[in-house]
This record gives sequence, structure tokens and C-alpha cells, in this order.
Amino acid sequence: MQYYPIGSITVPSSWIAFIVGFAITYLVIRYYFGKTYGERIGNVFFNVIIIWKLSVILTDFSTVLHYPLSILYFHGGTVGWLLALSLVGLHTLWQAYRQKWQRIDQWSLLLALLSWQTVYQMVMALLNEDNLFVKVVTITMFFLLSILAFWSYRKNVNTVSELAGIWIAVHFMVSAFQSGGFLLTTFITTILIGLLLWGIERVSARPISRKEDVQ
Amino acid sequence: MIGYIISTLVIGTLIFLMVQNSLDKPESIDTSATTLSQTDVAEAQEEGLEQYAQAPDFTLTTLAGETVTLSELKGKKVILNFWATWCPPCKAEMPHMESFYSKLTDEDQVELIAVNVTQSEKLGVSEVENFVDSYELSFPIPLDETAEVTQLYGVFSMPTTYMIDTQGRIAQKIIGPLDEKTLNELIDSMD
Repeated sequence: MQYYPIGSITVPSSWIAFIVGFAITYLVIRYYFGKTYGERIGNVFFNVIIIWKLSVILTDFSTVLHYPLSILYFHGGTVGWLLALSLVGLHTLWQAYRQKWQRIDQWSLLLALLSWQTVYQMVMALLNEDNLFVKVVTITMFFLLSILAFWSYRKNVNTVSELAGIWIAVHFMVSAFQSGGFLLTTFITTILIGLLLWGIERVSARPISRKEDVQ
Repeated sequence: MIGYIISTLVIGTLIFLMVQNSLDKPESIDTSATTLSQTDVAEAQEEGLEQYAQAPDFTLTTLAGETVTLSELKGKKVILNFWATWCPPCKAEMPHMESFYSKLTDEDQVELIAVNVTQSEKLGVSEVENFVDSYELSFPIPLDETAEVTQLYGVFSMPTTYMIDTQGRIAQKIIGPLDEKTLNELIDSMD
């Protein structure tokens, strides 16, 4: 993975891609669904970042015990990332159940997570070295997927879990082209997000019939 | 409809993977040949600090009294770290460096060189000795008493780490502390 200088330190391209993805997602959701949904998404992202950062206490317990400054300088890595995703995912699931999420709640979450992933993939493609064909495939596929998701929301077709299924399939295809070990983490991320969206659809308030929901 | 899209994508991918697997061998020979010729002809000669430039050569004496010459390490992946005892993030990364280094074997062909910027140490070499003892560091610590090498590598803030590949080219420059996971990832992603 490529590193880029920001101020007096260098950061991996994945951090830049994450942050840019988050910023754009927040703006899109804020504009598309309003303040409440924007804030909810903001919380999800901040929780993920904080758990990932602090999880170094668990993943590297002995070092942190001897050198407490490690918390400041290091993070939980892949394990911490997956831990953060799982915890925040379960929390969101519980929220969906307790607050009896409606269609708009489910879709705002899907569109937020998908926009984030799309921007992340695009920025990663631009910031890292790979052959042009792979970059074009990655950018095009995720872009088309986002268009399909936003179109489905507008036209009231397909369900959130169906879109999540296509998302996983698209990502599966894209990762076959991409190279490098860190890409595995992003694919697992997509699978976890897919599971979350499927679970949220299960626990949300279910309309008596699909037609009623559409009206 | 959705089912069709998903199955088309998945089946398409599987077919692609099968085709790729059967074509893999000749392809990999091709790419290694092109990268070799590229570096030999175009990039290898240029010394510099930017990515894929030849890392500037230097010779320094370590704390243990041995000499280290960068160009003699060609064929190995080199982690070239610049640090000082007074720098907090350097202290934070040292246990990780040591843990990483202690797990290296000859097969890995990896060398870790942690250049101490001795010129910036108030109490000089004795301070470095104390530091190395208390952190139980076992990797070579060349002393840059005139800060010549530090300047040659354009190091302004510490720690700064250069990842140098087996052909002696700079693969990556990282400013800021590195932990063991990141060191492993960086080594794995480098030729």
C-alpha cells in the first residue's frame, strides 16, 4: 500500500480513502435524507474509528502495559477493524430492532455504506499502483452499483438485502482482478456489511405486505 | 431478476479465475522480465530519495563497533530507520522493531538498520548505550555522529523509515512510528 505525506507524518492510502469516503457519504446522506440520518451515519463512522483505534489495547496488550504511549501511536490493525465493525454492526442491529426501523432507515444505511465503499474503492484505485484495466473495472463496477442502488431507492424496487447480495457479488468479482493482501480485509468488510443489512431487514418493523410499504 | 444479476456476476468471476489460473505461469515470467529490464535500463542508476530511486549509499560504524555499508546489503530487503533517544514515537516503536527483528530468519533475507542520529543526542553515545540496554535491542545501531547520512536522506522528523527493496531501490518512505503488523505488511508488499 502506498503512503502519502500529510503534514509532518505519512499515512497509508487506505486512511485517506476512508476519510474521503466518510466525508462524501456524510454530505450525500445529509443532502438526501436530512440531518437525523446524517448524524446517525456520522455516529456509526466515529464509533468504528474509536473502537479500531483503542482496540490496540486488546490486540497488543503486553506492549500497551509496558508502554502506555502505544495507545497514542498505534491501532488495532485488521483484527481491531473487524472487531469495530462487528461491535458497531451489532449495536446498529439492536438500534434497528428497538426503534422499529422503517424503509427509509434501512435504505439510508444501505446507501450510506455503499457510497462509502464506492468512494473508498475509487480513491484506493487512484492512490495505489495497479494496472489500468483493474482500476477501470473497480471504478466502473462500484459506480454502476451505486447508480443501481440509488435508482432502486427512487423507483421503490428491490429490497435492501437484494442490493446487499449484488454488492457482495460485485465486490467478489472486483477482488478477483485486484491484487494484494489488504484487499481481503475490504472484501470481508463488505460481507459483514451485507450480513448487517440482511439482519436489519429481518428485525425492522415489517409491513403486512410489500405493497402497503410501497404506498 | 436480482438472482440473475448475482449469479451472472459470480459465475463470470469463477470463469475469469479459471482462465487466469491456466494463464498464470507464462504471464508471471513476462512481468518479471519487463520489470527487470525497466529497472536495469531506466531507473536503477539514478540515486535519489523519491520512490524507486536508488537509495543513496553510506557507511557508518555501529554501536557494537562494526561497519555497515548499505550497498553491501543488495539482495536483501532493508528497513532503514532513523531515530533518537529523546523522540517519544521512536521509543514507542522500538519494542515493535525488536519483536519484529527477533522473529527474522536467514530465509527472510531482511535486514533492519536503525540509524541513531547521534549528533542530536545531548549526552552522546552513552545515552544511546543506556537506551539500547533498557530496551534490549539486538539489531545493528549505526551511529550518525555528524548527521551526514540523516541529511543525505532528508530526514526532518523522527522516526523516519525507508523501505529499501532487494535491488537497493527506495520502495517507501514512512514518517511516524511503525508497529510490528505494519512492518510485516510493508516487507511483504515489497520485492
